[in-house]
Amino acid sequence: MSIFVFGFKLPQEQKAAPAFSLSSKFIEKFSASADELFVLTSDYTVEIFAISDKREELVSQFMDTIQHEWHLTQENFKKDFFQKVGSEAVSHFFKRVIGVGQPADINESLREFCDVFELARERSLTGPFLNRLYQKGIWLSEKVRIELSLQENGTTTESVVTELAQKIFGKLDDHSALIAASSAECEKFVEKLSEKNIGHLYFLELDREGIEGVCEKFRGHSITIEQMGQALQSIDLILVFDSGFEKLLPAGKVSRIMNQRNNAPLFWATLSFAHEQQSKLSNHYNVYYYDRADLENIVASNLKKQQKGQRIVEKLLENEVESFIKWVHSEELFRFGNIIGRSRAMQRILDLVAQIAQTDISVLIDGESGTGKELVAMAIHEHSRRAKNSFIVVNCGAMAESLLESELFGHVRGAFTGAISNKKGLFEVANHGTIFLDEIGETSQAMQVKLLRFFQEGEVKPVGSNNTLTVDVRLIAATNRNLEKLVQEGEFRQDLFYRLNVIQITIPPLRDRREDVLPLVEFFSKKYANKIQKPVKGVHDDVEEVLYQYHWPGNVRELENAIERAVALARGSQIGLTDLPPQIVATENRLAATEVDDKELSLQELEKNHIAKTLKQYNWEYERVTRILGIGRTTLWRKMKAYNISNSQEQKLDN
Amino acid sequence: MKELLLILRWSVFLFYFVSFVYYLLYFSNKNSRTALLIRAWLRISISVHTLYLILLSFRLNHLPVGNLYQVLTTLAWLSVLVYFVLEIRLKEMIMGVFLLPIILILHAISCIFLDIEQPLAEVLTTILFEAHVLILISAYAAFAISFITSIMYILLSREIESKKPGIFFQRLPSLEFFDKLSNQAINIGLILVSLGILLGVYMGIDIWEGEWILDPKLLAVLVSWAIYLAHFVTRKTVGWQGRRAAIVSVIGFNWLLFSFIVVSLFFSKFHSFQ
Repeated sequence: MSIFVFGFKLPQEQKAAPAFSLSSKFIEKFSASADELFVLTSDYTVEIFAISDKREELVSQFMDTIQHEWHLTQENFKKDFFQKVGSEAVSHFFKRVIGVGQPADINESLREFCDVFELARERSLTGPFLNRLYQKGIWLSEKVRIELSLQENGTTTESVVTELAQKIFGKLDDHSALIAASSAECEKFVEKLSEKNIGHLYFLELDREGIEGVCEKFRGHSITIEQMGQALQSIDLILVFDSGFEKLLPAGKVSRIMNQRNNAPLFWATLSFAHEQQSKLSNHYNVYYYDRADLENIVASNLKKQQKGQRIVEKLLENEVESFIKWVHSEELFRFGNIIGRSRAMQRILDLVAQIAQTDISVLIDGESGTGKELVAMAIHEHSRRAKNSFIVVNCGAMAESLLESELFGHVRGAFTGAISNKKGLFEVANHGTIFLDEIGETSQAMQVKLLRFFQEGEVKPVGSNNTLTVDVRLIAATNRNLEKLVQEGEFRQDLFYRLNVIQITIPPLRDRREDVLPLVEFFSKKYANKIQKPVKGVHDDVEEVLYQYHWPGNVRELENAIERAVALARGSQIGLTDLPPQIVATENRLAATEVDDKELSLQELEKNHIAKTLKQYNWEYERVTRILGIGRTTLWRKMKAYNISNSQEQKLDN
Repeated sequence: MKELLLILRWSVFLFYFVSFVYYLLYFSNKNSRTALLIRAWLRISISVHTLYLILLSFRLNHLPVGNLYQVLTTLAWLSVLVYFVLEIRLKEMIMGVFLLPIILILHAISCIFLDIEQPLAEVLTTILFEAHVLILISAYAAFAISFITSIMYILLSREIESKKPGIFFQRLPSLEFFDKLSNQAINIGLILVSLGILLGVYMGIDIWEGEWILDPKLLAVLVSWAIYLAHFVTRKTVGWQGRRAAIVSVIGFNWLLFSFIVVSLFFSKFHSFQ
């Protein structure tokens, strides 16, 4: 499986079909063969980020579609096509998030990107890979923004002129400019100024032909040389492009004009190359004079600063790409500690575990028996600061009350019959570590009081002792019963429940997260094949289907035992149907039993029912369902929306 | 009560100091998160300072304007308050980095020397006297604002003139912004200072019967009044806008602080209330 990106720049003349309309087409086409997919389109480019092991297939499909749509020859296509794999693709993604190489405003492009991505995420096109990539990208863009905000100065002469004017005059609304030019080279400057809403633009009539177009385009006023003296009293900006201007307004005359203007600041930029006299302008009070060389110096130094900033950004980018690739190879992706789970529900649980592991919050884990509550508890312990200290497991359901008390709190010699020596309690043994109380729902009321006291005070009083000890223990409790209901029925103390239930992790039963079945099968078959030294290399396709369909009342534990048995019985290199325990193979235990419906249905109703049933049966795994129904992902999505079918379970998780 | 006041006034200093550090940070990275922190810290600082002044007033039985050190901390408080309002209205936070050092110095001097126990001359605890001092302090606060904007004007215009845009070019708003702000502050200050002097003269006639003409404090204030009046006049007549106006403002405020402290400390004639 690899991450890659490929894209194509559409020919501009095809204005009728901008890239955007293509994106849904691609999503529909590719969602079946990619694990994760994200299509990004901007005006005329399509870029497809995908996680898949069928790269060639996707790329050739893409090529066909594009070539077919635009009737392009192979060569024309090749010219504007690109693809990147692995770290280059990751880097490309980051660049897109940050908006490098895009002329638009950084914030604008980031927001757009976020919108598109969130949309894709909502449609569950993306998965753990792309989601993490996205998160990292957002984080990176924030850093880059800070880095670049320090050198966001103009890198063209016209933008430097505008910036200077803005630094002197603030808003340009009530300031006017005089343009002395005889050719259209002033256009970029005028355009930049009018972007900033400059008040009035006066064009000096040196050579009407040259600038008439510009004057009209930006709604400027044309003034004659005679009118200029008068006009200069209200003009704060002078841009000189014509070297002849020097004769019309020599530096000596400027002081008189400044007097008339009551010394209001004047910004004078000479962009022609002859300017002997005008350099004297700098001596005038409140005249800010720049010639072309000055402006170009500033442009050069701004460019240098910008390059420096970009180098820093590149370095940041490089580091981030590297750490992402490392993360991908570290297998943390689908595994956390010993937990295997690539379903969305499990991924969320693992995210939560990672978040809370570092804290000392107590956690309540619930889920059916065999779902791996102890593994989750162990994962929390192993990723916490307490990892070096002990992890103690106590099964509260397995012991009689009095025994449990002396186990947990310890006892002193002679506390009761048979207590022949002092014994440390498990809470004391677990000091600075984590204690995992399994089946907490089975404890008696009296025991609950004692536990609550311990959790609140952090003190242990061994049975028969008068002294208390203070211990520091992190608490993780688990139950397969519904504690809330027990509280309502009065069988479980409410105060203890709230003490335990700071964070609740509910592990869904295996039948609700079928995507995890096959990875688990693979994991266990490898594990037991190694253990009993048998060359078993996985399971037969039929078996896969059977395992996938079974409802797994005993959850992962049942699966593990079934696989252990199957590996032991397997005769070839693959596990066959006969190797499985009979109850799994029995057809009535499969979920897929077809219901017979006698009602008279319209085709639409039939379709709705069928889609809903299939979705349920395959546990809302869109990828599988689309394959089975033979429709595209978008079509499925549209139909779900039209028939108002939604995954209530997922919504619950979202809340 | 005494301990509380001592703790409060140093915590005021501490809060201003933290705000100053955040302003410095903001100046270097212009981060929006720092801006939020600044808002919060400045608000806390002003609140604590207000609390301190209220408690001090109760302790002293009159507004904290009785002597130099009381005046200094009140001046600091008023300047920050005015600045805070400006900051919100103009949506421009960059000036704080220049203002807060002044505030810190003013308040620190007050903290070190202010004797909370000191009684006040009976005759001066009238409402008229308090109004006189408060009006003058408000005028000084206005001049302080004008001072920092003028400093920034000079820094920015130097950079533009030298044709090498640097950090100030990057961070500060426009010259016009500072020029307008400084001008407005001085106009307000000038009105207030005229009012304050008139009020003082009116009271002086009653209390001192003519001797006050040669009072050094009055003379010093008259000189600063003249400086700021000159600022007003030259701007209107010979077009001393921009840098020259800024320089006049800086000179004016330096004179103000200098004369205020020196006269209060060394010419302890009857216009000093220690």
